[in-house]
Amino acid sequence: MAENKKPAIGLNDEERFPLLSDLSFLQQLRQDAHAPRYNFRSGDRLESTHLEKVKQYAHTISHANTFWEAGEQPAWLEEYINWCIATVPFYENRPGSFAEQPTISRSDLRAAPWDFVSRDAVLDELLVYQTSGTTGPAMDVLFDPVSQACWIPQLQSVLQQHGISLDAAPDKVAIALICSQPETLTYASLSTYLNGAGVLKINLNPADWKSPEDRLLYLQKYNPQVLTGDPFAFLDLLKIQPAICPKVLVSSAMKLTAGVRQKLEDYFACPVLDIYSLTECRMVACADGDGDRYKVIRPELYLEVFHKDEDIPLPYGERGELVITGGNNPFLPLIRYRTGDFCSLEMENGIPHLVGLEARLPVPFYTLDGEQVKNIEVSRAMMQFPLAGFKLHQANDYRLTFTGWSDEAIAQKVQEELLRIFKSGIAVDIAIHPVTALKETKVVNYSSAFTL
Amino acid sequence: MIDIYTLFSHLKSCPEYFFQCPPLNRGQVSHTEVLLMDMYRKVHGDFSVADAALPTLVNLWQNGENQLVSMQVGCWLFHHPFFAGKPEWIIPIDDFLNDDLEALSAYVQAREWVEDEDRAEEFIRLALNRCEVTPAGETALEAADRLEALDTLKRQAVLRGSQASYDRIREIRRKMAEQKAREAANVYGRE
Amino acid sequence: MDALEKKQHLKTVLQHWKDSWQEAKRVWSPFVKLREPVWCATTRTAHREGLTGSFAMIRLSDHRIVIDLEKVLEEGVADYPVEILAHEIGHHIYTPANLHENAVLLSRIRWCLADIEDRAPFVANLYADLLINDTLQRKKGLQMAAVYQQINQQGESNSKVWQFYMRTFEYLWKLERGALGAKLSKQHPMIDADASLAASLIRSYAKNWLEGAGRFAALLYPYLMEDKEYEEARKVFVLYLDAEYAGLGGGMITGLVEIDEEGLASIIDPRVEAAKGKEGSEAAGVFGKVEAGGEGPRQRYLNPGRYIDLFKQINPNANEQELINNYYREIALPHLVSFPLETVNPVSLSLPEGTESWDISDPMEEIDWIETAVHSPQIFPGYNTMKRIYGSDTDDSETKRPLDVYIGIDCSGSMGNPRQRFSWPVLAATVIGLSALRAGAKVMGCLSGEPGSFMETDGFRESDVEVLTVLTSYLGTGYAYGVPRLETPFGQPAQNRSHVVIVTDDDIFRMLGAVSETTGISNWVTMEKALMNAGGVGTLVLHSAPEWHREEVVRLQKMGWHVYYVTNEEQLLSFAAEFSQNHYSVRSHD
Repeated sequence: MAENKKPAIGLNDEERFPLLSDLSFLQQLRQDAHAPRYNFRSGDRLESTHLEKVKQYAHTISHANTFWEAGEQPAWLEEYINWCIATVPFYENRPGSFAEQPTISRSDLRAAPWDFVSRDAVLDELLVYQTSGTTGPAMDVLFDPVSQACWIPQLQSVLQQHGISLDAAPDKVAIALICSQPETLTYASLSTYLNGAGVLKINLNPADWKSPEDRLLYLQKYNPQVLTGDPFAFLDLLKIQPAICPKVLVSSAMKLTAGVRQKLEDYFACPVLDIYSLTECRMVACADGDGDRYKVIRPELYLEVFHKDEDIPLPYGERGELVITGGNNPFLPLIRYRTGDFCSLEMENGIPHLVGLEARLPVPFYTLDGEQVKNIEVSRAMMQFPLAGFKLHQANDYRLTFTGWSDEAIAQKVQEELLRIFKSGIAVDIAIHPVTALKETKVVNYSSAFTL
Repeated sequence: MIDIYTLFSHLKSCPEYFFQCPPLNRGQVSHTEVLLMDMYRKVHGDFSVADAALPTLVNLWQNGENQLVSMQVGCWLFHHPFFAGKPEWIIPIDDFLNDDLEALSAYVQAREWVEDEDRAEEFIRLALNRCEVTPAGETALEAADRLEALDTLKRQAVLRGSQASYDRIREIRRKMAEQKAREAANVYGRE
Repeated sequence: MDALEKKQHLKTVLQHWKDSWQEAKRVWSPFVKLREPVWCATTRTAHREGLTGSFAMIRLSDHRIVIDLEKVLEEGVADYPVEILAHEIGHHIYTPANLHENAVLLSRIRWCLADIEDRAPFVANLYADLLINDTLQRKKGLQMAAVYQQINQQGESNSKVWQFYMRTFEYLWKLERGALGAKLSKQHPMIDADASLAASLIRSYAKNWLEGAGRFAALLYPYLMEDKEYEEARKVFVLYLDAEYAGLGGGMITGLVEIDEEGLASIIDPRVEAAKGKEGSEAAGVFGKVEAGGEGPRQRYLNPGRYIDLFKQINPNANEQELINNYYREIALPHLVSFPLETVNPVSLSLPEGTESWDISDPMEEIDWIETAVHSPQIFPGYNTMKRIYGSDTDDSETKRPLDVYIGIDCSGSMGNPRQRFSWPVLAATVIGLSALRAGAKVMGCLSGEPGSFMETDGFRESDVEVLTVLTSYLGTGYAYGVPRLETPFGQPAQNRSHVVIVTDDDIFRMLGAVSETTGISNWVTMEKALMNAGGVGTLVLHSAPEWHREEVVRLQKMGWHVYYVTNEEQLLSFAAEFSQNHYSVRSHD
């Protein structure tokens, strides 16, 4: 029934890719005999003015040699602050100088995301991303097609530093986002910026495929140039032993441990990069060698390190909470945004480096049968409850300790949910405290006696 | 001394005649002018006083119809015996009818001064305030507070500040909801 | 107070409240007919009645008021039985008054609460309370202000909603600033301005309160926008929320599927209205009428998802399947053939075939007394009573009884879910199905998205609920209607002749080309045989163009299938109406 069958409220493919006239590769990716059962449609929605901006952005970030010198501020900063104060309701009554700006945190964004929308933002371009809450309670992050599409130039600039280039051909898959979860959105899409090259998001869970072998056949057929994913997903990919030759693996969302990196590099015979990224401002930095230094890739972000509880900026080299200012998203301009991640900052030839970044180490949990449980599953399950935050720990006898902050009596339901995830038989201790008792900033915390 | 409620019921009984605004014909004395002169004479207390001793009405034609009718409603208010024979109030009344009502006419329709309770009260209090009369049973402070609470101009200033930002927020949230619905619709059945 | 004293006190209070009941009713009218409230001596028993948080609540479904006397004592409002009872009565006879108005009220408020629709019951309750209390205080001379003062003695709140609300009462009742609400120092000019607008709104819309609902919600919107503010407000108001779930258990309410144009027109922010002066109220449209817009025929209907959300808010117990059935039923109604005026009587010339037992539920005149007496001289109705049964005269039934209908719908991956988005194929099927049922025919419905899954009624059914429940379901599997499905009803010649309608698209030709894995029979054969065995008219409604698959279409036509082309889904409705008219209207004969 051609175009009328699809829900009209959703977009059609022409609207998803206004600049791409030939969508046959997209159809091929979707209708391939070995294609997964894609459950979502996604497009970059780039119009020509947008594409220009993305290209401009790509040029800027790939040509920036010096971001700022230690002890100085980047030249754009004051102007940026003035623009924020003039056009963003949340910053309206702020003092004009950067030094006087207080920090903000995730909870400010969560409470009123609309207050962060600049009056310069065109509302018809508003897009929403609902975070699943891996690192805190779910929230809506607003952005526009340009800031959305800029993740590819960001990725390219990382690759460029490692001497890797993307083949932007309309009949190739450039990037595959690899997931391994019970349930997630999956889609085949194209990148207008990469001339219509394919971008896939696939889930390795066999339930998502017509037959488990299709996972291999499909990946092998399209042989993506870049694989992105979290360390868990890559380890699951390793298990099915695909005969593919990616140019690079890009790991994000959790810290990549040296052991896992080695395993992946051995198998795929390509570099494995560890990226530090945030939903609120995409890719920020890339691990430099295998030490614990991350080189920042974004000249339009100004980074500082703050005292964890007080609004005191710390000198270079001192450890504290990473705080970000800037970005290119008119729906979420950030001024001194507390990331919830801790590190110290070092300048090297005018480029900042994050040292000792303590960002979301993957935390392995297990059922009594030894089956691995990912913390994102727990995060997702907890979203249904009115929790201001929670902690989950697994001891080496598999016993789970859950501490939650909520004003409602949900202990029973939380217990049922944990038993569902970890299967019955597992020992669970649950404590629910009133929300007022919550003192920490990082409201979701996982820990485990096991290591990956 | 007079209390608000007495003037309130007086204002409520404003005859239909005072709401009329027949078009001006050349050489004719306007309806508003007739009512004004009549009222000023009553307030003056001397019906034989010369027009020259009363406020000049030459610029009346410049006022919009809503202000003219509002002024006529004012004429009715000041017809209350309380204002009769108080020539010292003629200037304040003139100020009220011209200055206050000019500013207010942009926001309040003449009939609201009679039909809307809060506006009626504002009308009366504003007039008394001009004449420096504190309503019976109230202290000057209470009266000022009450007037401030009803102040249309002040409220307008507040609303002007808030309205635009609410509109934008509402629009953002509507777009957010729409986007989320769209995302939900993008999820299609397994093919 | 010891336990005994407490009990005695409670007894006195109960008596006092019981005695006040008549007076409370008389406040409104001497003719108010309402059952006495359910008096709960303890908060625990009140819980069992569904009353939590407040000391009183109403239920529209059974016209009851529930009072928690323990809470009444706790809050120190035992001395205001007339005020509180009259307030609760107000919900029953003034606003929201009944299930339908309550539903419309919520639906109008929802339009104004972009992205926070979940707060509609809260807003509705606050609005109704303002209207009722203002009437009681100013027109009926009750001391509503005193009740608020009593409760507020426990301390003032930082909630902006609370400050706004109390300030509104101060405006309405010409009370001194701070008489009910926040201390002067805490007052915000914004709250003051909004409360003044709210007061004038409540006065203006006291009679046509439904028309003011949208404006009130728009006024309150900025106060409820942030989750934290809302949660804080709920905490303060929990004591007053007596009608949030007034519609609980209320059953189906019709008339909500169609978009409430009048309601949409009244969605105006009073701030905008005030700023522009009352003359220029072209303020509507602020809320984006178009985007909120309708679906289905003439874009007049709510999106089914929104409809379900709305209804679940009115009555959280509502059954989703019933709702979705009702949704398509209501939209189909104007397109159904009119009720048959003449009833066909297939037994008039029928032949007696034998007897069977007469059941107590059968019509009395059907008892065959002679047969009954032959069986036993002692007669126990329903046990040994007999009735004669008749076999229908075939000639007669063929000319007069409408043919049954089989409706097969392509429910493959490319179809939208009819619960999320209005579906033309489902509406078309509903029109045909309900028309057939009205005319006395039976209906078999089948959704099929194959290869993959299907869902069908258990043969031909007379119940619209069974038929609708299948038709409004969703599979989203496979690529087309599965032709082998026809084997179920038409694998053998049908006992009762039946029409066959299949709604699908071009992909059906791929399906026809396939061969059944189990039987090895080509789907072309199945298709031909099915029509023969059905014995009625076969129609393939194709979303396609006549120039495609010409050869295959000719082949189908030779078998006797009619092919009806639609190029957009709206045409499905015309097809359904036409089909129903031809086969199930009063004057038609098959």
